[in-house]
Amino acid sequence: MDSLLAGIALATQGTTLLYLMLGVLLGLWFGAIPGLGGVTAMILVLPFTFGMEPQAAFALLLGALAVSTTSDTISSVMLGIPGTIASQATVLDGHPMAKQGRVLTAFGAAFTVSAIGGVIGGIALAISLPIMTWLVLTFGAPEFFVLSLIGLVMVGGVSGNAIGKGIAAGALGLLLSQIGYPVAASDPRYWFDQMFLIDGLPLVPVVIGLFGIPEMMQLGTSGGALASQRFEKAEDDSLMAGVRAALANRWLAMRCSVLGTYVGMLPGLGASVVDWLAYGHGVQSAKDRSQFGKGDVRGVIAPEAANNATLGGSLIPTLAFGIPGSGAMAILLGAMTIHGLVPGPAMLQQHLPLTLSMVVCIILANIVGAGALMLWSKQVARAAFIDGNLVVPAVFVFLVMGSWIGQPEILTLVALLVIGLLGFALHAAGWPRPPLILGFVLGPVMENSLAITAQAYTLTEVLSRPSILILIALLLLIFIGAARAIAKRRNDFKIEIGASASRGSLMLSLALGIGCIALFVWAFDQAQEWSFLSRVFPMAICSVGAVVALGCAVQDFRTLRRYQPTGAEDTLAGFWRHHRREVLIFVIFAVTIALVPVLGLAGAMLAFTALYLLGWGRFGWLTAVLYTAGVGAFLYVVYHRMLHVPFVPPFFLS
Amino acid sequence: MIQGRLKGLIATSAIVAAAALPATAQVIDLEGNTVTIVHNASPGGSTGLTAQLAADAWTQTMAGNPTMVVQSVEGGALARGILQVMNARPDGRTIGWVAWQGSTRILDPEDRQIPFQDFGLIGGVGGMTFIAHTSAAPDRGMNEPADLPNLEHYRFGGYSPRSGPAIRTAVAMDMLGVDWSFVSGMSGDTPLEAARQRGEIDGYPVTAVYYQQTMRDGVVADGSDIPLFYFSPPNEDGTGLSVDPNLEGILPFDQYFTQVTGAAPEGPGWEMIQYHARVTDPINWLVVAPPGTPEEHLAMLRESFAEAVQSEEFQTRAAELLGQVPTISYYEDVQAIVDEIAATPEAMRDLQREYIARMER
Repeated sequence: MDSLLAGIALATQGTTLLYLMLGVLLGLWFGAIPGLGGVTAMILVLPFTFGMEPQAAFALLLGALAVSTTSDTISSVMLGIPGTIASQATVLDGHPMAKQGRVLTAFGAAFTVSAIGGVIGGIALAISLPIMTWLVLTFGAPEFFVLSLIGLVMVGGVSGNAIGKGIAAGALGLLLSQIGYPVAASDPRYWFDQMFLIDGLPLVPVVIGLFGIPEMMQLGTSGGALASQRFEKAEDDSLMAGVRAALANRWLAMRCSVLGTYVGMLPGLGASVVDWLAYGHGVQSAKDRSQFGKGDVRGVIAPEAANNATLGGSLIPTLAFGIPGSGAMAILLGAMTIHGLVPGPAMLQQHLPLTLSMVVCIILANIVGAGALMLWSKQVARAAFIDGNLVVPAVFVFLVMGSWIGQPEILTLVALLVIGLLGFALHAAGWPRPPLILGFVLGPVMENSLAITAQAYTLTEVLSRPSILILIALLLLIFIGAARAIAKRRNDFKIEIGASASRGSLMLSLALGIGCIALFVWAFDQAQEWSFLSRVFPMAICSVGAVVALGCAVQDFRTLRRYQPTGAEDTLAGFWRHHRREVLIFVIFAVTIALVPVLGLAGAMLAFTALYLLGWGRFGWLTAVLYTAGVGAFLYVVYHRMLHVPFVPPFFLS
Repeated sequence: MIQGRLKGLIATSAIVAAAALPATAQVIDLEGNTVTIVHNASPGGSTGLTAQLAADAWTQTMAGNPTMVVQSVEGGALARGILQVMNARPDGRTIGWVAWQGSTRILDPEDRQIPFQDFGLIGGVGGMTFIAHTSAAPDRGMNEPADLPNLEHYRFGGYSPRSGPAIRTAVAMDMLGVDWSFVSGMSGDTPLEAARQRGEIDGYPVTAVYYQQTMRDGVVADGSDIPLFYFSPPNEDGTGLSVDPNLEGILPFDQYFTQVTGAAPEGPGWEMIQYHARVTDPINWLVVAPPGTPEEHLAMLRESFAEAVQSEEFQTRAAELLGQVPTISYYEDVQAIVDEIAATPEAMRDLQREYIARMER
């Protein structure tokens, strides 16, 4: 108790509290901008923490990190683009809610459960302190593999009524994750002799490209604002309505918070997976699933409660063993080293008040962050009603810079575009996109744990572990539950509101199916020459993927043969007319990226902004000049001066 | 008006030409500019943090006292950051602080190799000593270091088969007649230690810093782990490995080998261990300027780097971070190592490839 009081005193003393609030402000800001997030905020402030007192340094770092998974909701809900990797699933129902003019309800629910999740994560961390070492040592490679499998079964939960296409998309995501170096060999796979691909596709362009580019293509052609209905007019839309919804679904929020804490504890899984797991759980545990994907508030509550709880969980292996489960934890570990702190039992014996002050900082940051966002919600929500063409240029610049910051080379932007086009095609063809992301983030964890298990254990050793038996039972329960739901057609809902089925969308779906079959067959063939552990996982993915994609293609082919057009426009030409303006916007994006080596990164972004506003948005010169100047100032101050992002110079300066 | 535009155009052209041409002024004027130190590991790790400490000290000694920032360019098996420096303009604004793994990088196919000798070499930081150790296992007869040769099988872990410490551990086990297997996919001392405590591996080549900070008074003191021997830089006369005074009670590999087998180590395996002792262990981070950097500017960088890393501020803070004062290598030593690696005999390359093939699955 004395240590706890000392920890509270450390966290709430003047300077520490000030740094905590500074961190919270920074975290809120960076979390709201797609592609930045809490890790970038931590990198930014890390050098300044070297000379601080340890408690102040950790308050600043944890404050910045803790609330970024609260403010990332803004981008997910308003733009349909995950603000950070942790809020991917929030897009599925949060964005439809915004389109229905229920922004405030979504915010109210999200911020409430974010605070709840953050507090539960902090408390779980405090409770787990005495058993941290035991927890870390219980979960070995076999347990990670089964946990990843459980995550993969959630593909059913995030596929809606398109299970086959969901599995095929999941297999595609898994295959994409196989690009680059394998675990147990030193020859990269599927890398086409491109250094860019030698470590695999970077995560950020994949996540924001898959959702962000198609969303901007759609917004730029809609000719209106993001929301089709003003929130003042939407029935019962208010922050309090969101708070009430959160409280009404408190058990879901609690379960997802606990899930978030313990998944966060597992290195390598963490925030990038937990929101999908929570969303899948939210779907599977609901009686009425008909509104998921269309703006069900439970689809916001589940992932938002879980992603804020992961921080507390991920601190457990970091403090207990010095195992950084994520990039953010690696930075925190670095800060601990700088301050002469050695993770492990010493943190509990010699530095218990400091350790507990971290817990208090997490709890305080989450409460303050959620409160601040509640206060600002109305102002933020008004952005949903400004002209979409004013939103597109700035968001495209954020998407480009968010991708660029992690891997500053032109191929990163090409990847962003290609994945964006894939996302657009999947959406237009009625294929669910979330399973692709789930497969992409789970693939490396699954392969790594499978490879270590194969190298370090015999089958008997694996099957004699009690923890494995419990997890396998859990896996079977979830699998049977999902299978029963499919059999009873309880999954009869669309996970994403896409275009209704048409001849064009069916033909595109058929083409995607055939494309997937060709890709899986090619990838299988490539893998045959590799060493055993290099080939086993991609070959398994390709086998399942090819069979399922074949099934999808056959089903689409049959549907097309029986298909009755719904009107004169229900033709391939009509489908093209419906989407051609979106494709045109994509071409504008592509030309902008192509101009980066010529005009330089900043030049291309500014030229795009000005020309888009003048040519496509039909805004006046004054608007275009002021807007472009604003974008330029933001690029200069934030990306150049603060983050030291290397900008490609124009060709004449190279 | 036109005259004004013409003047502007001429001025712009002059600036562009000045920027585009190789610097003819030998020491580049960096006053008021920003110099970026590019490192090739993730932010927050020891590579980035040490680079930050060096930047803080170097900004005070470098001519022009430029602002120095540290940027992480990770990935590509460490190659991405190295290539970024390789392709940077030699304008004094970019410096590399790279974990390089030169001795195993030469095993890559031709098109993936990096010509380190083309860089403007400045210095090197952070020599590394690795300790081989194993879990105590009385049921398998493993109670003390001398029991190792009687061990039926030794399973050790690491991130990749293509790492100097992992290859040397495999070679050492072969020389001692111990059957071994390698578990890849575990990165860093702490995840490896957790894997050892879970029983997934028997041991791993641990850095001396982690050993001293965490293991010596913990798992080694309580008897659950046994240090076996260590790999260190060559001794002064070049006949064996140097003795690390911080690792009292543990022997360098050659002395351990002699103690348990009664004979001095010899043969291709021992030559490989000595080769790594010469070219891998002395330098952890190579400090370089882009190819084409003017010689006089390089001379200034070498001098100011030496002054910076010898400063009390850097040494104190680095010792706090790394657990010991890092060894510093200067230009001549670094050049000798880079030259030796570039001239590695084919037989040595083949032997390393053979071991990597045995470690891969």
